[in-house]
Amino acid sequence: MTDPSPAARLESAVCSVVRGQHEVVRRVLACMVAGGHVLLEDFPGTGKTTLAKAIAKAVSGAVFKRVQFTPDLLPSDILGISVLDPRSQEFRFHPGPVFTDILLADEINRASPRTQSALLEAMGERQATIDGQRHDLDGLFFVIATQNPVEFRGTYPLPEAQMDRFAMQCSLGYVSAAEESAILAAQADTHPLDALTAVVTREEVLALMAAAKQVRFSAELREYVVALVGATRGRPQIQLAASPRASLALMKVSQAMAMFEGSEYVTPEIIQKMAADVIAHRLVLEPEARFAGLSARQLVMDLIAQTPVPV
Amino acid sequence: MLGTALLFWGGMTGNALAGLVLAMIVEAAHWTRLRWDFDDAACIRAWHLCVVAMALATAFIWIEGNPYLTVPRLLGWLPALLLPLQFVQAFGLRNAIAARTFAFFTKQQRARNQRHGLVPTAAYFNFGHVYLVTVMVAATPLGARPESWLFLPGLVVLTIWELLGAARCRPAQVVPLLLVAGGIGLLGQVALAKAYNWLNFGSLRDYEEALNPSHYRTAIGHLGEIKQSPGILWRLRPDAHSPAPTHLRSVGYNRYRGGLWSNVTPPESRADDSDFKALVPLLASDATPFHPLRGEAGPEANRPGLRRFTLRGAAAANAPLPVPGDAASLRGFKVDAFERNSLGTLRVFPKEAVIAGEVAWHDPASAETPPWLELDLDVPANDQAALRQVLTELRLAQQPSLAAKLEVLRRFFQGFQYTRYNTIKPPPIGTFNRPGAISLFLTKSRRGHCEYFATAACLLLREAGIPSRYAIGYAVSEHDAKRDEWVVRGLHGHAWSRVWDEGAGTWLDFDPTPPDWLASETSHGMSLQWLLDGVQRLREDFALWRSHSYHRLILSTVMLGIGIAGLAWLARRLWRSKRSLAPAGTRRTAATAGGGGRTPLHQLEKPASRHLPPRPPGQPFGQWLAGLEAHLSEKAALDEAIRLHQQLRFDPAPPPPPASARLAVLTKQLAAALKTRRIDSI
Repeated sequence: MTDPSPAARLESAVCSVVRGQHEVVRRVLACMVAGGHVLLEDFPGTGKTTLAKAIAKAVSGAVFKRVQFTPDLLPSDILGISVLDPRSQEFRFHPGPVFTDILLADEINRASPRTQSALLEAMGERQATIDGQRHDLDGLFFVIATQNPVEFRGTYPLPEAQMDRFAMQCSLGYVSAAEESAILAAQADTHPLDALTAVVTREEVLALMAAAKQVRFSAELREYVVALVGATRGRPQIQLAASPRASLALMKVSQAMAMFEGSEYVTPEIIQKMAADVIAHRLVLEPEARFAGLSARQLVMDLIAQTPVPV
Repeated sequence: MLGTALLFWGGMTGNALAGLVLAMIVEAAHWTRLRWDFDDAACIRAWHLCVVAMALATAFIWIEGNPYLTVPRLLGWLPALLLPLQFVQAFGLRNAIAARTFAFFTKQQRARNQRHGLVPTAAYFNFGHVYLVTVMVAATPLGARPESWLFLPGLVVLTIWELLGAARCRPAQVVPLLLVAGGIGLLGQVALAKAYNWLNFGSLRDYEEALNPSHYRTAIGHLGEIKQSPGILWRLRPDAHSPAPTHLRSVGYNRYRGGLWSNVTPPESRADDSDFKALVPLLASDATPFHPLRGEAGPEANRPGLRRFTLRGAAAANAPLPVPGDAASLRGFKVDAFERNSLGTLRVFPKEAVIAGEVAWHDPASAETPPWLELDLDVPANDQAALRQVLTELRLAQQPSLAAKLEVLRRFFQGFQYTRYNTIKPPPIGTFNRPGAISLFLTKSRRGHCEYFATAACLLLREAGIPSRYAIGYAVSEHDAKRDEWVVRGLHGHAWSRVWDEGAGTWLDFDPTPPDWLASETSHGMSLQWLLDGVQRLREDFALWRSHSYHRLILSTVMLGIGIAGLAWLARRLWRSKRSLAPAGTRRTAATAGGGGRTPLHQLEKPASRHLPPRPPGQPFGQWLAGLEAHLSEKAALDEAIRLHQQLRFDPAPPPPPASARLAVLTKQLAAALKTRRIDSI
């Protein structure tokens, strides 16, 4: 049996591990293919880490590293460090876990802001500057960060700049009771993750990334994306609105999503589907709005409903 | 639909032209592509405009006359007054008006919430429906024309049309229902018309309005307290050298039976249909017309020696004008006609709501016909015994002159107690020759109000052989020293007797009520009465000022100027902010950003909108059309059509040639399916 496309193979492989989360898996994969990074914010035990591991395992030849963020984690623990080699009397660079294909930054909000910022450059520009030396990162550099929304003690909320570096923020949420019992059944003997074999090569994923850029995007929808992101600006409830980076991310993610949906062009429906994931986490609401129980995601949904869509 | 309703309203309320203009304005939205992008602030401004218009209309109607009819009249004009909002609704791009427009506090709260960064949760609604209902209600009997019977058939026809137009119901079910509802409504209409008449002419109005020249139901023989309005009805300003009259008579009566005083026309006046005859004006020496009250009187009715006062107040058409019993002539009133009946009741057909003029009085001859003994000496049989007993006790027959007899009577009544709280019970129904309420008043209770006193005096005098009649009107007792005028209020309403003085050949006022009655009447005025009086005075001043044709011209010029200036300003602002709409049918598409191409599937929008709720601006077309799945069996065709539509619409690459043709075929198929579906549902 030959699968029709690497995208579908990758998707079904990950879905076989992370059950009942088809929609989120597809979004996360789209984000990866779009060259973005994803922040998974969810309650403990909903499968964030499993998802990241599954993606890493499904791609053969991809290097997967994980960093468990803790308050005492230092920037050099992520980026790497130059150590003086006593024999050659030279500094030798020991690359940190950031030099990888897929990086799982677990519980990212437990590290100090300084360490979190160390990821900034790597995520934004796919390069790390250590001791004045520039180190380029891999072409497939995909950060899956997780954070836990319920815990505040001992956590450092991500700085806005870093939030903006994430193309998307999604949450897995709880699955249905039927799915949950299926998960129990599947993990009775072995973890499905152990059974997972690589279904796509690293090169195939890079090809997918190139293909996603070719998904057609009409000028009218570009205007729509700009209008949607622009709608966040100048609102009294919003302290910090979405940046042009958000528009860019929304376009790229929509293209990748269209590809996963088997379409060669983007439709307004796809843009609307991705908009909340792409825009919401970049917004900083006014404290009054937050205290009134308004969430950024809800606000974005309202904006989607209000912004006229091309028909 | 709305236009027809407005035409209907115009026809019903007699403002056909206004109805036509409003209908043109409202329906013009369907013919022109002119639109405005009205935002919430514009809605609020339109609402303020409506409120100002309503306030002005209320003030105008209030000045015009009957305050009780202000609400119905205002209701009748609501379609015109609410036009700004309907304009915003019909010509705005949004097709809806925020519900919060109408509440001041909600607006404040919203502004505060927005400052604090809360999302405004807006409720929008289509004002057109509200306007339609308003128009319908304005055309109802609640409005200005209660007597029109065309209303219900029109309403039923309009409703049937609306329902059938919406195509959401079966006529066989709806029509009988509507007819039943119409029948019930017809009953309601009768009741409303009655209520309207009651308000307009009935007893709920002031004492003045209840004065019917043909009969008057007194409170004699009824229990309970008598209440009268403290509002000012008339103002008198006597000449410098004349005193003020003590009594102003509104209506006279000559027959008493069981608490009811009525007017029986003397035989010599019966030839005509009506006892009332118009007064013929004469020209005074200074060429101003005056109306003598006595038919045979000439210029002497306006001679300089007579006492005079100016009288001013609000008069309804056909209402009695209170003048002294010995009034000679009237001058300077702006009226169409005065009419007088044989008992001296004067009624007026004023040109203005408030009239003012001069009354000459203290004429030795009165305008009433001389006594008609058959009635003016008539006494009810059941009271005769008591009357005779009193007369015997008083020895009235032994008094030498009429003046002495009246003096004896006056003194007799001094021993009675004036009260407005009636305790004399009505005689049981079906009993004859029981002593009436007057007998009880004279012999047992000896307490009552002016109607008892006046009736008892009348009957006593009649029993003593002196013709007398019953008069109701007002006692002039309150002097406003600051303005040097006498004020007549509703609670000065009074009743007394007119007595025939055989020697002088005239009728005299005889008031048997103890003079302290006024003190008890006026002792419990309202604390804010001065304010009400002031407002009423202002209103009357304005109405009188306006009744002058020159002033009226000035006023209408100024009002017209302000109106035109306001309209011009509004028109200029509207003209500047106008938008043109894309060709009809693409309104929704054009309202969105970008504009751009159309696909054949867009033709499905109209048929689909019959089955689907309106598409919010943020809902993609395909997603909206997918809602049709519940209505269609051709699910695959719909999916394919939506997919083709998206490809044609959003794929920048050139589409394969058959795509458009295929979509056209699918669209036709879907439209046909929707049509049959629609017929099925009916």
